[in-house]
Amino acid sequence: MTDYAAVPFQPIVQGVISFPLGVAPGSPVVFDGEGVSGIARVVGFPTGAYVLNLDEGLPGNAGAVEPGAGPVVNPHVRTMITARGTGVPPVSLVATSAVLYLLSPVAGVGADQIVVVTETFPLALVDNPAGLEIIVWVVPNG
Amino acid sequence: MPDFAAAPIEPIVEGRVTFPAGPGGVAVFDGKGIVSIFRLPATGGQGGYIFVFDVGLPGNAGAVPFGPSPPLAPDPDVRAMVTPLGTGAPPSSGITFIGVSYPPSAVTGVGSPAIAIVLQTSLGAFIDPVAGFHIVVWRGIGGGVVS
Repeated sequence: MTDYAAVPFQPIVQGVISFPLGVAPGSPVVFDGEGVSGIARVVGFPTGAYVLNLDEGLPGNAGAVEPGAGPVVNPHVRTMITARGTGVPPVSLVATSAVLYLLSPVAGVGADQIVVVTETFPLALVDNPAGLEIIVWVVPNG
Repeated sequence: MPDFAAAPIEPIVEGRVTFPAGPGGVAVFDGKGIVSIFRLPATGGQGGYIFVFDVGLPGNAGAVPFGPSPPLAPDPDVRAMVTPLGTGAPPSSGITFIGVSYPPSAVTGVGSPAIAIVLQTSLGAFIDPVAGFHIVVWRGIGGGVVS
């Protein structure tokens, strides 16, 4: 196999989001992995919405990922979310997930937080009992 | 951009799962890192699979180790991506729910030698996506708990 990456990208976050005390509304949420220095529920949403602070050692300015150029706010970041299953067979409750990159209030810094939202079907915010796997990659300008 | 991976991961499985005889038929894995596939009996013949890791993978006898726990037991240091392929115009997969888990080995301390994947429709029915699905599995390296 040729030894090159035609589309290089670098993992900056890898880990598992889980709920050590269960998924009651407002229960604690933790991150186990690398690249995130803190995690909390989004204020006002006791289930299914989490804000992750990027580790300040990550590429970019003060732990932030640089925003893309152009009229669309497009941080050069790609994220994967996969729900772990529970039971036999191991099913998940997550039908759809979404991510959003929150810009730092400091001009030019970029995004220093990622919001992850998970919903079941019919659509309603949900904590997945077995947790969520997450990987975030930074990509060079395209 | 700095030339390093701040959160290193290692791909240990990549491939595509298809059903040459159609949904409910034999599941075939085409790729690397998997030595065999079994269907999960609890899903009634479709939509549930056990993929046995290649013995050449990192870990003990082809298994992935569990991370430090509790409070997150069991927490294998593995991250997986499962993407169904679609058919038709527009190409739809029919899959709404995707769940993954890592069944532990019967041998204490070995970790997990396999990954279980479950695919369901919006109504909770277990189905094989007609066009198959992609799978990538990475080992996560290091890390710790933050809250």
